Amino acid sequence: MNSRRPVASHVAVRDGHILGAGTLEELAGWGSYELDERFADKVIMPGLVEGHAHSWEGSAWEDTFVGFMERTAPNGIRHQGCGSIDQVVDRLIKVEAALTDPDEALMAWGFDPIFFDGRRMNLADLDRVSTTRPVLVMHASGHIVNGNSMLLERGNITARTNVQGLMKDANGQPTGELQGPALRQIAYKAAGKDRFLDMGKGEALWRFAFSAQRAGVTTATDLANELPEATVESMTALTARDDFPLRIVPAFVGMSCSADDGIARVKSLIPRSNDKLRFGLIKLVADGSIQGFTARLKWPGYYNGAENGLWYIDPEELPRRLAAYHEAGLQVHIHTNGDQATEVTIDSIEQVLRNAPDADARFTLQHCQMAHDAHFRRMARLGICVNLFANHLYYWGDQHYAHTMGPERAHRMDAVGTAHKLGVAYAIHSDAPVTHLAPLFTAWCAVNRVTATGRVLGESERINVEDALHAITLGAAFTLKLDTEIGSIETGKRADFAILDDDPLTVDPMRLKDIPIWGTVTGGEIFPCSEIDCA
Amino acid sequence: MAAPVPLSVIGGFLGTGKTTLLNQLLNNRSGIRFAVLVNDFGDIVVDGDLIADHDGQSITFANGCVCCSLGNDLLATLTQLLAQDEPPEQILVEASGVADPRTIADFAALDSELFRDLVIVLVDAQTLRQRAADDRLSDTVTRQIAAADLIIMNKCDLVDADERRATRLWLQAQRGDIPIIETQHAQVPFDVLSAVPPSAASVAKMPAHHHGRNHTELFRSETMDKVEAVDLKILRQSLEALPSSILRVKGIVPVQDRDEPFFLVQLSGREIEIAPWRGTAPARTGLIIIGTPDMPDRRQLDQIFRAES
Ligand SMILES: [Zn+2]
Repeated sequence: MNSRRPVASHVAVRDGHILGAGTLEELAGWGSYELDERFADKVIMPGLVEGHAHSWEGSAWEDTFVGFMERTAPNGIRHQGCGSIDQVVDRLIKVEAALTDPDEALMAWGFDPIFFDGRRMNLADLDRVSTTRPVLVMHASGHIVNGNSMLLERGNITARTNVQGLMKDANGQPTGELQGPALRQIAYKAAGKDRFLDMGKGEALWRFAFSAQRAGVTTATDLANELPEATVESMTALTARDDFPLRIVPAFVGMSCSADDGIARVKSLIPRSNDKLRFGLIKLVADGSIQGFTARLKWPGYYNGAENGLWYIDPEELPRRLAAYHEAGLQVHIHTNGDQATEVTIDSIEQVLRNAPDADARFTLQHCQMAHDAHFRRMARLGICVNLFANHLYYWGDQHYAHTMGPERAHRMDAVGTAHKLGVAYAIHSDAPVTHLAPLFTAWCAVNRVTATGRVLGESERINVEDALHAITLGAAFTLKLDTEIGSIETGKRADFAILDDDPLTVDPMRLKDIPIWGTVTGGEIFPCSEIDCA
Repeated sequence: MAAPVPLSVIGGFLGTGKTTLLNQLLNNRSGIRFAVLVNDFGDIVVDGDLIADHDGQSITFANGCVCCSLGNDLLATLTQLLAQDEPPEQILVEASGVADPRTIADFAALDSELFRDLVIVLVDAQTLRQRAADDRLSDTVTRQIAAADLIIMNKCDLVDADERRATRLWLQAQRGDIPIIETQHAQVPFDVLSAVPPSAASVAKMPAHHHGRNHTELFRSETMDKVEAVDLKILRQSLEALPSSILRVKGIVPVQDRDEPFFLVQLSGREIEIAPWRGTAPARTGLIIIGTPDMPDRRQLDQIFRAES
């Protein structure tokens, strides 16, 4: 990915950094060396950079996966997708049979009823799994959970419970579907588990790192984290270890407290950064998700007529928060899914930059799935970067075509081609665990733009393989202001590599996602996938 | 178990006066211990003699009130507050500008230790209709107003009479069923905000209590002294029969045929809570009934409550 030397036969490494890439003779000039030929028949790429993932990718696997698309766990076990509610129930029955503690709650994640044509999961479904222990199924959206009768009993949720998000049947009985933050938190309390706290635990971070390693990723963001002290401690301890394979860039949740407190917290964390841990990034969230119908859309809104989504930050407060962090010298990434959220965010950034000009602030719009050409033109002029959610095209592209966006706007979603053409600095991402962590798959999505059923969305928005590989290395590093350290194989950068069994530039672009990954090298340490030891 | 703690939600956009309102409560001298949960206590003002302690997460006031940061996990914050040796007598949660305040009130509806008190939504008389016409905000404005049990139309001193009338009519068209009150500097009578009967306040410091018409004519209140024991079933029926012009009922009453001699009675909007009174024998029993100026008069109230006296 060094543009002057895109291909080389050898790379020399010293003290965790790259001495150079070239021929053996060229590199021999650096002095005596030990020739390591174990990757002679492999392809060495710059370590891949995942610009939008969550450490939740690690904690999620403590629970049973029941998503629609197949998924590989950090331990390498491949889990088939659940194509129906019955398949979800069958999987949970099997897992339940293996549980030894009779009181332990059974938790599942990734359930995505948007694929099931209106059929909702109900109490009877989950009571087939167990009537004696709580069963909790988290939806892929993260905003809805389903429970069994025991979970409702423990949470004291009955037909008399009168809150908006409690779904009831024609007879007024709860169906087991619980929407909204209050019911969700009650459900977790009733299950006796706190998955939010779990995210910062050491085991979860190890699993996050292994998941990344399997995908050839050597740097990943945790976007975002409240960064409580316990989490910071386990992050600093683990990343200081030579055998920890991942560099983590955690973003602080910039709206969980006042901007002043946020600035103070992040500034106190920056000195605790190390080679594999970089504090300083801030994340704000403007709206919800498109497939959850919570993204903020401009007219004419959702294709199926659903009402407009939710602001997660007051559009009038957004410029103030952005200004506070920006003027404190901190970089901000902003989650914007719908086009209205994107537009309000660009307006806000424009206002902030007018008062405190900075040509290299690298505000980055995360997801930015519905941005229009006009938005990209403004982003290019304002120096705003974008990290597009290319995986959506495959995962929910058909749903966007049929339900959320309708045909025309579905074609312009995650407009990587437009970003490229108009000169916006861009990356592409997985939002793991929302979709699976695998930048080569994400690149495949941006190159082919094929949905799960094989429909091509926005042929003109395709980019070529070289550009897609740039997006998952230097492109993502740029959005993190780490492009001087990582993202390419050249003198002085960190010795971070993805070791592939095949060459992404020569395989059929439709096979890009299938290239086996042998492992990674992080700071010169070699991490083969075959040696991952994880429950 | 102690009587459930009322939880009220204060909603409204930035700049509508939420913080002004909360400042009044936190600095109150009624003896009622409020806990106020806010996103950002940068703007919380403390009367010099009232501050007792300030750490990063909360401010404790000498009057027993506490203001703390909402945090990410409201349920955990509420659980902590309720587990204290001296839990607050009322909790107020400030909803962020764009939040649907109902989602916060849901926490109270789901917790047997909490009583869902009023959802109070503030609107700015100057900007409300502008916001309602802005397609970025209009549906959020509508959702907030739909969630309210009481609307406070604030900053009325900053608009002329025509604008004020037009804004009120616009609000009434949305919510003809709830009280809409016009204020300046978010000055709302304390009794309207507090769900705790004055006689139940932990500190025996009785506030100057308004009878009859409030000076600002925003509300009327009536005090029904109850010395004879009441039948709880009939009392509940009477409360259910009250019209929507009644915003609040609160008090402690003597009861018939129960182990506990006194019961705490609260009505907030349409929510009714009747629970045994665990404190020391109250200095005074009876109900305070608060409503808009068109609420039933004393004679009508007597009729409604007559069945049980
Ligand atoms: Zn995300």
